[in-house]
Amino acid sequence: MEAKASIVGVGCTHFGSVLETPEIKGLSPYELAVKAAFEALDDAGLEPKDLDAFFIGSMQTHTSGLYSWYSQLCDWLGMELKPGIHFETACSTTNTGLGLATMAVKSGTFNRVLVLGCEVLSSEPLEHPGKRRPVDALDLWFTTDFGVDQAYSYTHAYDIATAYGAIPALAYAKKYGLTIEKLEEALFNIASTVRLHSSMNPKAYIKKSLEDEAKELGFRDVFEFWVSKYNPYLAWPIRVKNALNPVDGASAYIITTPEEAKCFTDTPIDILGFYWSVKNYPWYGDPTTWHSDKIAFQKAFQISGIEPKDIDYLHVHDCMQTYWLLLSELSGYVPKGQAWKAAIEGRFRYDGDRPMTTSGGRHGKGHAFGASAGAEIYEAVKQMRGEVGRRQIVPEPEIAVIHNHGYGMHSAVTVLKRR
Amino acid sequence: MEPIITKFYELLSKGEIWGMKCKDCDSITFPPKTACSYCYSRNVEWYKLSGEGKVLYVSTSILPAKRFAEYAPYVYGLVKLKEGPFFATLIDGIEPKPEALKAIFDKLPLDVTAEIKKMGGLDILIFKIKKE
Repeated sequence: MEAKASIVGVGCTHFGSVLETPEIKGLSPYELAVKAAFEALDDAGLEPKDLDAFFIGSMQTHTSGLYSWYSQLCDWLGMELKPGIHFETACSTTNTGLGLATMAVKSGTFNRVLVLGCEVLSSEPLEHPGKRRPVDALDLWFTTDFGVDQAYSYTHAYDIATAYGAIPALAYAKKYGLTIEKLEEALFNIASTVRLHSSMNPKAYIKKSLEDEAKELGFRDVFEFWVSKYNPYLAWPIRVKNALNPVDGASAYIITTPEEAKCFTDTPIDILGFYWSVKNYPWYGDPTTWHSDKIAFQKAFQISGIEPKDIDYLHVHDCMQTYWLLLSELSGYVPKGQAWKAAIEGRFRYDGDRPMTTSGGRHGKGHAFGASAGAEIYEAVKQMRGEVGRRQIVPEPEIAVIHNHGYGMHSAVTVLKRR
Repeated sequence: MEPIITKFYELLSKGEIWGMKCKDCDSITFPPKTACSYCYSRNVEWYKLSGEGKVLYVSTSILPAKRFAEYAPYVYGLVKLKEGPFFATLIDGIEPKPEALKAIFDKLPLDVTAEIKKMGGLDILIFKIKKE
């Protein structure tokens, strides 16, 4: 287990809407990005002049209204004339950025790198660069789907909710002989855990538990609420509350050499390894076992020198919560065919024996595409340092594995270890 | 280099479904690309497909792509073609309702056959459930 590089500072904004959420209301993409970056600098006790390079990740140019973030942000960040790039692997962007920065540091090219992710999805710019107007869901998905096989799949009615959510869930049920009712019970329990976690995360988009939402709407039984008109099928058997909520947000972290890390923090978080694997759509033959995920997990574990039994905390990309089932098994965090049971038994909760995605994930914390993976790295680092308050895993995780999917499809896995 | 995408849709308009056959490993890549999707060889040539296959999984979404919004609700699913490749597209012959989807889930996989239909301004390949 050799540290390839280390994380010495993290930052993350509230996730929500720049049109409505009080903590980020009125911020342009510039200010939103800088807010996360400066929080990471403060966390590391560093100034912009101390950094060697910066990598900015963002995906949705149609809603942000900008690309070439390096030149547009460099003077706002206090990093003009330094090496900077804009990169993206869609929703895995800021997981990939950690790999890019690790390679840069490990090669000896740079000693200190800022990785920053920013995404504004709620709205598009008006003539006044500080003002924006809302974007509706169909328009947002129209441009988001530019990330999926435009040659053939988009023209053949490609549909994220079915392709990404429903089909893998149905395949999981079929593989293990689960009834649709049992599958729904597992998905309901995952959603309940997601919302428990986001209700305890002050930076999350949804801060209300599923149980409290049900009570407010007059339901005595939370499962009755789950199957009610308030939670329709997005793509049968996946319901709306099993799916992502697109939001605005930014995340950042600072990577240094392992040797230097102790100068900036008492608790460096070491990067043991990472790996990526890509696949064009369809992403599967057997929808429960994607080759790109399998390769990314296996190689990342091999490079890191860990085995599945070493994992103390797991995040998997959950645009659809189907992936709590599929990927907790594929990563080896729980045995094959057991994830649905683990979900029902509450084992994935922050206080369970297999804690996952304590941020609230892509539904509860919210999904700011290019910034989301960085927000999960922020969460893992904070968990490992013991700094997340009510949702703290006890004892603090020593080894964390962060998985992300980027359209369409980029599987990224990173392994972190508390020193 | 010929325009492969254009040729694929032109052939589809004539009622023919073409992919690529790998001259090294004999696998069929569908839809056609410039390399084999199985052994990654560039040694591929055009190959006509039967249009037969099995549908493995189906569902319907309340958030259809903008291009297909006028046809919603519809059933979309994953098909394994007789020649090996997987392809996802519209599936004709199933009602896009949870009860119907649930009823068919237990019976899957089912035999399907190709249909070429103008949708979203283009002739595309969809599949229809074969009568039992």
